[in-house]
Amino acid sequence: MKGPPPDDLELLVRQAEGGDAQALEQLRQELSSGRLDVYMSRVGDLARHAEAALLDVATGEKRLMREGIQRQMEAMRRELAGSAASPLERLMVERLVICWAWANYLDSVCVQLFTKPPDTDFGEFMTCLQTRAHRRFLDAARTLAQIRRLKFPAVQLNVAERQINVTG
Amino acid sequence: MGWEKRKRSGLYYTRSIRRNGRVIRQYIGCGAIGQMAAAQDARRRAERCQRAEAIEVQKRRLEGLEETVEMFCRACDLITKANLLPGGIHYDRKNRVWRTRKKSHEGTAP
Repeated sequence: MKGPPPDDLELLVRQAEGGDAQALEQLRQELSSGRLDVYMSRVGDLARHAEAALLDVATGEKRLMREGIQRQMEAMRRELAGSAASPLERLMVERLVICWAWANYLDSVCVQLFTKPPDTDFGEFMTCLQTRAHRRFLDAARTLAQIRRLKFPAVQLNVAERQINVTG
Repeated sequence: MGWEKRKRSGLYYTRSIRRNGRVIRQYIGCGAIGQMAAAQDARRRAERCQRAEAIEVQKRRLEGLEETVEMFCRACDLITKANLLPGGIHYDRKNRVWRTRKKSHEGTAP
């Protein structure tokens, strides 16, 4: 069973966001039929490509360093995903780990800039990249936390006159 | 910077430098002194060009990677919306939060 091509999915989501009931219903059908899983696996491939490209740039020919960073990313994935993560959560974890690695690499490049003669243009370019990477990392962390909260909403308990909120 | 032709001393090497926001012509000399200064300037120019080229290569590499990561994150956003919209959850752009759409209560007393 083939999933919808990416362009159609983007259009469908935009229409559904805009309040198109037909588009929303079609999206519901795509979700329940499992066709979105195919697209999700394509996005997973994109994640692996992004990770490989990042490691190529960050480590070059240093295989030991590459393996070290790969293990660190893998450990983060295991810790963040836990044992019962849904496919969407696993994808969000993947996003968070890649954004973390990218932001960290840019931080290390910026630190090295301080040891060299200053180049204003390059410094501005790096600051811009670094700011975007950090914002993306925070968005990824926020999205994962919110998805988890939506999955396990907080339960409000009223004990005597006190209100206690418990999260799952 | 460059060589100036003078009647008595032949070719004379000069250098233009910026000092306090103004461009000043520095007269170096002729013969061996001028040649040494010209070689030094040529070496510095070549080093500056090499540094600029290395920076451009690094910029292009980083921009390429930035585009890849951005493309991946946009695809993740799309998948997230595709999964959550059917459940009545939408993204509140202003507050950067995923929210459940409130259902309207028709016919209820205020």
